[in-house]
Amino acid sequence: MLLLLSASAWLYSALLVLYPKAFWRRYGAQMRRDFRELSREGLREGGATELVRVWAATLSDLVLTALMERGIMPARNAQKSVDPRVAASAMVVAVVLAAVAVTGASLWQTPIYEASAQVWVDQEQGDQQTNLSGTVEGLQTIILTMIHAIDSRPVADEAIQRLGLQM
Amino acid sequence: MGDQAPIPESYLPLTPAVLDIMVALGDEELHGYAIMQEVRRRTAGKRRLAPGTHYRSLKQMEERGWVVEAEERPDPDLDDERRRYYRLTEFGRRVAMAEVERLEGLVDAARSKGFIPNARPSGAGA
Repeated sequence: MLLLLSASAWLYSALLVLYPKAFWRRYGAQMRRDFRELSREGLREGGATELVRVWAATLSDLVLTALMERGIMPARNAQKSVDPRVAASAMVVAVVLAAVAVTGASLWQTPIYEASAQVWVDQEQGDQQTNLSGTVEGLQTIILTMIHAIDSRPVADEAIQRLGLQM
Repeated sequence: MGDQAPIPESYLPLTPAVLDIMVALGDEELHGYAIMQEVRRRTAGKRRLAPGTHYRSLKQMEERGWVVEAEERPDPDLDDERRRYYRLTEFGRRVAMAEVERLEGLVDAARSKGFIPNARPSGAGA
């Protein structure tokens, strides 16, 4: 849920550039904060469905008011008498922008691959050597590790291939 | 010529969002999100101001001298965050009153023509 809220807030922040610079410099921080609050409240009250409603209302409002601020659309009482074709175009623009922002974000982020290795060390006690595989627990641990290794092999192979690692 | 005080009636009619904000600020200073919540609460959720319309309206109201920004202060609900509070000016109040008076006249006229359910047209008896 936290991730959903963060992603939602990030996307909204990105879309604020649609407003003229002076406008978002003056009100951008407040709008971001209020949108975050609205999303949090929506998610708490009605879950993902309410969050979608908040987004739909906010997105169309953002595009329409941005067009008005830029003087592309007549301002006076514009919200009450918006041409349905203009409103539909605004929604299409908003959806395209959102899609571009999401795609851009996913391309911009560098994937992080994590790997771990386990090293088994036999313990030598005096002149007597304890073999890890000789105990029941040790044997179980080794078997589990082997299973994990087999399971993760295709993922590891793909990562090695994509990154061009020399193994 | 430039010294003449603007006439409140010259700004009418106001947009619903502007009047909503003015009514919310009628008796207290509020920050942006609190104004949105107040509008939603007062109208039982029927009217919700989206951030774009809300701040665009506030911008116009500031430019026309209807609201001013009060000093920033911490939000009691959010420990560290500072909020910008807005206050209705005297001129803003006069504009709001002129709009309410205009709407009152409109409602009276609508009532007299039977537009309002459960209300008798004026002059049809008490």
